[in-house]
Amino acid sequence: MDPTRTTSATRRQLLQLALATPALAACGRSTAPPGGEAAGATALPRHLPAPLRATLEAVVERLIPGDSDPGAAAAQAARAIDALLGAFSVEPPFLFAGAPFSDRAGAARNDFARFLTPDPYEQLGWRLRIEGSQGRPEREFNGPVTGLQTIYREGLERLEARAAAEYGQSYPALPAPVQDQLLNDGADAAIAALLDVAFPATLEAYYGPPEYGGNAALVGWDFTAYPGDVQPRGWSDEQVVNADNPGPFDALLPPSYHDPARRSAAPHRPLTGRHAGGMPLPPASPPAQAPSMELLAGVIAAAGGSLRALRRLLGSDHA
Amino acid sequence: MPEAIIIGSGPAGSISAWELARAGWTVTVLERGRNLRPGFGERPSAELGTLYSSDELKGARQFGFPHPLLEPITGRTRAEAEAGTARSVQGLHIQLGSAVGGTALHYNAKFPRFWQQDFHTLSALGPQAGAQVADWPIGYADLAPFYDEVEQHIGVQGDITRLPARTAEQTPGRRQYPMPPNPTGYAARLLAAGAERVGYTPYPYPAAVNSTGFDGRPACNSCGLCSGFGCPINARGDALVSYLNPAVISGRVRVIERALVTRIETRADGGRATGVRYLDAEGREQRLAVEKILLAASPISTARLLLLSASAAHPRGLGNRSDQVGRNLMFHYFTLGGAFFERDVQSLRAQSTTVEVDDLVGPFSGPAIQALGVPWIKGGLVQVGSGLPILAEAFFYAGLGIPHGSAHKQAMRASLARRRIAGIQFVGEDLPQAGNRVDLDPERRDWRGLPVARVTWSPHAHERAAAQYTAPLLEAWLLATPGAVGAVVTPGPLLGDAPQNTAHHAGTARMGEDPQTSVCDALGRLHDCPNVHVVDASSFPTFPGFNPTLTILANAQRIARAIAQQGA
Repeated sequence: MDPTRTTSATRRQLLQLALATPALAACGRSTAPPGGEAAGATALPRHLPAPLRATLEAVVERLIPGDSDPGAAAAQAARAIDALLGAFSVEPPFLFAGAPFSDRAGAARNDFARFLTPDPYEQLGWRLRIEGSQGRPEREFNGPVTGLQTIYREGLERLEARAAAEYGQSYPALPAPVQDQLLNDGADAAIAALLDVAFPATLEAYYGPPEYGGNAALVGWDFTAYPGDVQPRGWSDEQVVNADNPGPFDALLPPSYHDPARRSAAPHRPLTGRHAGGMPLPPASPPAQAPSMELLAGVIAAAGGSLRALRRLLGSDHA
Repeated sequence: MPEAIIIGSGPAGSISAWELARAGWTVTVLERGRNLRPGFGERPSAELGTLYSSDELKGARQFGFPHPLLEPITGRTRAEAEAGTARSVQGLHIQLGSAVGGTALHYNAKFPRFWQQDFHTLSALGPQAGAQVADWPIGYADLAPFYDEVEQHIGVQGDITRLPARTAEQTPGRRQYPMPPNPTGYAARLLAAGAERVGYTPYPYPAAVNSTGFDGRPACNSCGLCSGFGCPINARGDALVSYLNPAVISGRVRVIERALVTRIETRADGGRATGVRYLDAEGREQRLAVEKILLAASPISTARLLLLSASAAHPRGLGNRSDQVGRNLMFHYFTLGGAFFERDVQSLRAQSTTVEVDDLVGPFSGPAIQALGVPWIKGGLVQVGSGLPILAEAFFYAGLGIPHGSAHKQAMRASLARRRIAGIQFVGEDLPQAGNRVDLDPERRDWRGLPVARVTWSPHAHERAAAQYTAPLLEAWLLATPGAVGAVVTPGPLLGDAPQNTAHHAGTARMGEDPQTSVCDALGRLHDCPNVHVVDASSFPTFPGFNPTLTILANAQRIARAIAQQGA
């Protein structure tokens, strides 16, 4: 092999990438909070009126409740969902975080925080998704589309109307089991439509990168011991080949195929997160299917934020 | 100098542009997607920026894909079609990416070759009822030099001294790969031990991912977020960095983004194409006249464009005299598997799938196969040692029906599908069928007002039999994996009749010698209109169970070189 080969991104190469990207990528002021810090909150776009935001906050907390770990309300999932609903009220629109690196794994600057400028095609597609077709002929080539803004507003208003009519209180003031009962009423079309989009959106906000406004203080990556985005540091060869918590049979495993003389690509970095290290994992029954990253990425994109579509694609809903 | 138009800038289009430009041609590439690599066409590939990152949310928001509301595909199963259902699904299902550089921007870069036996399946194994099994009009030897050229140029890691004996025998004509294997993931090592226990031969998966510096771009640092993600550190060889960008910098190739080709025009007698019409980014109709057209839009879009190009001389669509355009659409099917562990096995912490197993490629025949109702089966390779990022895990549980609330959070805490699983994917060969096809949806339109592609597809009895035969073998392997406390195997064709969400597409414009049973000849020339060449996977007569991009590149380069050298 070439003795001059490099084994990891050199400083110069990474600098080139970092310098090359924002010049064309992010021509607009940053609208995202740095690294999920609450200080950035005011820069996020807003859409819903304050009372409905409170309703949404109560809803997301039912979808991912707080227990020994924070729930979706503490993760600011409602803020992230509202930011998507208001995506087009800021410039650039709040749709796609920037690239290539956050500042969580060795980069000096958080590129994620500088959102990308979508081109006119992407903007039309996302206006259609968020605002709906609104009777405009150029948006109704396949018939009318109900936008996310309408789905959230109507669903949240319905929850409040029913909370008032049936219990004489606002939805957030109701006890959790009563909130669940209303939220799970699949016979109520407005509430069912809300749940269809709100559960996937809450997952995105809770477990996604914090630059989108959720996953505050990285709560979604903490109790799950998820390392998050690890570029540009990556993993060292040692971290790839061997387990942090060695298994009883490791000595019997076939060795790695790589050249052990190869210089380690990155310094060792201990895992963080509350279940890192030797913490035992709770018991659970295996899922009925095996997952695959390749296929799931396509399934998730194809589901387009709809729980019903996701379940249809994974075969758990044949309706 | 001669000129060509190439429709589609993915692997087939990019390598064709590069090859023609090298021979002095002037090339225009029309691409319906946008550019996502800042500096494209202006700076060397080692200095390009990227709009991609390790951001799962961008993938969930279909970044780099057609928008499902603006450019949907519709679909239905064969049974639904027979019952008169116009469509049962509409949106992004089974769609490939659309961007300058194509789906290879966010592919897995797995680079196995097809095997010698794959090019004459009909002669060697015989037909199957209800399928259009065919020999290729070319053999492995026609592709071998191009396999080698692509492997050396794009930069493939691997180790030919570790190839299993049968793999080496079936894929002769090799040099050592230009880079050694990347570190093998721990989860993959566990599964490799299991594979050896059941008598299989695991080996380092060839991949167009840098394990050392290559062509000025850095080595991969095993972040694990490959498939579905653009590489944020530029460590992956692909259509854009390895071919299209250098071709554009050469000055002979231009790429027009957001150019949606609406039809290929021909002379009145239909015998030669004269040019293409397209809608530019502003929606204005443009026309380009040219003597040579290369179709590289990928199987669904290539078939759609041929059908959209119907004229008085070609009333059923360009090149469709024999009614074969759009037919024989093939998707690899996947049998997914996972071994479960009591502890974290770090399956995401490695370049995406570092180990390959070829012991289930087949063919298999004999009483056990005949008992499943088919004369023979062909399988495919197994990708070994994959993991999941966290949002995919969360969506996976939700999609399996785990309800919101505490149940879902507990599933995330236990993390069986991410931290405690070592995954495998068996990539199965899908036989061509006349009824598995692309046509134009009679009602649904894209945002420009054109009919969208409709996909009618269901697996053949062969795929069900192959899935049934291989699933217990995969399960036995998983259970033999050291430390495994359980296993699950999910054979796609046995779960339902709709296609899985795969990015492996082929067929719709098969190549062959007989114009009655094929659309184009061995050089991709439409039998009915020979200055139009199909250079993408649309022309594959069959679809062996191997990741297809290497073969797409090699075959397109073979055709483009013939065009440049022989004026084919």
